[in-house]
Amino acid sequence: MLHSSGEMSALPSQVSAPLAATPVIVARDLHKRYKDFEAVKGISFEVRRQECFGILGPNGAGKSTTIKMLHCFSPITSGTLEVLGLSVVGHARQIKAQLGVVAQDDNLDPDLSVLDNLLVYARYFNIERGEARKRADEALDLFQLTEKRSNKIEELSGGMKRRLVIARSLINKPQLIILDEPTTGLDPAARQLVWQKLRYLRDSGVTLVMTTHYMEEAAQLCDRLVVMNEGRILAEGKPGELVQQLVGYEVVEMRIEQEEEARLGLLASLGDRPIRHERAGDTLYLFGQEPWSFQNLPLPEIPYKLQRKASLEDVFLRLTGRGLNEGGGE
Amino acid sequence: MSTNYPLEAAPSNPKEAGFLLANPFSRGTYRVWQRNRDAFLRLWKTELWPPFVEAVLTLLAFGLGLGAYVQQQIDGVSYMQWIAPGLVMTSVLFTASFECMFGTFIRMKLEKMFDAVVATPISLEEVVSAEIMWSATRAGLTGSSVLIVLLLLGLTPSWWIVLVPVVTLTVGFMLASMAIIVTSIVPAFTSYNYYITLGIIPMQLFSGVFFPVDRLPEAGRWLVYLSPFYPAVQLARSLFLGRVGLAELGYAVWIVGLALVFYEIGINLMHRRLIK
Repeated sequence: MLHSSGEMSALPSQVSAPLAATPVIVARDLHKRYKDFEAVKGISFEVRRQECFGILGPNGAGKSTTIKMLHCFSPITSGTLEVLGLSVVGHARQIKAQLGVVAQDDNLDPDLSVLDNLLVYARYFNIERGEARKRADEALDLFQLTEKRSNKIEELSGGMKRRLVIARSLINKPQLIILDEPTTGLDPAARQLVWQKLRYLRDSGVTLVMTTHYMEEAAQLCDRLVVMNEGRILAEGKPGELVQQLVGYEVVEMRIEQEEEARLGLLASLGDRPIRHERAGDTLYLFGQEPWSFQNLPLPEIPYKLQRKASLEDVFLRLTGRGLNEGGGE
Repeated sequence: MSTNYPLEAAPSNPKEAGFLLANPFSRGTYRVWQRNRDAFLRLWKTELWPPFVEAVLTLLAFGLGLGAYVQQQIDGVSYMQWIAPGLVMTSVLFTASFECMFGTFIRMKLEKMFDAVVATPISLEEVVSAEIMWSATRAGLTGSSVLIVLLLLGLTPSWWIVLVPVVTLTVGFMLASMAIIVTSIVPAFTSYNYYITLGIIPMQLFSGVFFPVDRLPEAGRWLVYLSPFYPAVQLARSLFLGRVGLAELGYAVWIVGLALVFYEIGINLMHRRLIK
């Protein structure tokens, strides 16, 4: 397959229509058991070609474990897992040759310069030197790192390191890039820049699979996502649809104690409006199930009251609980 | 789906296969060996000269300093001549062991180099093999540098010493594999003290580097014969003195055998440590 030269050539070639229909990843009843606990308890999902697929969940949900099985690092315990049409059992080398992996830690090579990081990485894929040099230059250019090519890794900022790790993952022109919490630990500006680059990759036809616990990140980038908790998938769908189905349209947050709320007869005043409510400590949440749920509804004047659009964060909290499962380790 | 990577047999999962039989000579191993070489050459200003200087210092201390008091000839040669091959092998002992202890531990735990490489078509077995191969290479370089220094200082060994670089590489491979076994079980840096104090130092002192083993009582001698470093020193000395016979072939076979056994154990233990 030919790919156009020029600015797109750092990216893999576009796939033809029939291939686009086949899923890039198929997981069926996937389990992962470590010595004394089960991190993934039978999950099934599919990732389609050229989409950005998110795996959301709190710490300890099994996201990283799932990612490690996807890029053939961690052997699966049971179930089936196919990546790029190949089972991860017995095809690790072939699968890894076509993958880009962005790990949670910046595992750049501190003993090598920025450019050498890319060239040495290309050599792991047996990419011939001239071609490697060309791809490295393109990747550095795409990620705005050309000026830093001769720098040491320790001289880069956190955001630059992250961009370099992502640039490095492009060196073998992968069809699929797997990212584990790509913006954890970055400041807001650096995060925005990484998001921009990831959107660019997605729009160029690369399939992305990413874990995150930032809901905004998922909302910004993901076409579809699953929410995981304690090794299981709790929900799957498009971000907007999940919000509507599981939370609604609008949310009202009120900091109001239970006695006060009862004295005001707040819940009774909602009548038969399509509003769901939930209390978490000192805060009462009202979830409007329809766009008009809160229309002409008089709410008491209290110091903290916020009416806003429902978000993925609400979905996440509804599914994984509000601080109830703190302390789960991964 | 096309890939420009040849479909080599993917390494099997040792949890199913029981014991994994690895091969130290694959292309993936060579790729990581190249990485270690490149990183080393970038730092050549700090890495390249110490072996030479160490060799000169050691020889001055032991050969001239201590040797001046040792008037007695050993095996028909002066103490300085006698101790020289042991010094070559001692440099191999320290270089090979430390590279696969601290060097490997840093790359594995702190720099996360292993994680980055196993995300490419290269397998964990190949990364670990490359650590051992690189360590052997460095040990070979160091041992050969010491040999050159000794020659420059006027030692006149036999022509058999042309085989010494091969011996230093092989012995380096064996000692690196032993260090990898240690690295596969240590929780932290400080735990290396056990191996240094109870493994490396006794090997250095009691493998016939500084004095002939027959000075020891019977029981002690047998302990020395069990030291994997003992045949290395004996073989090197025989090559230096040009006294090569069947015994030397025996030493060589023993070294290669130990090297392979330690290598396979090391790879399997590292696999068990890292693949979960």
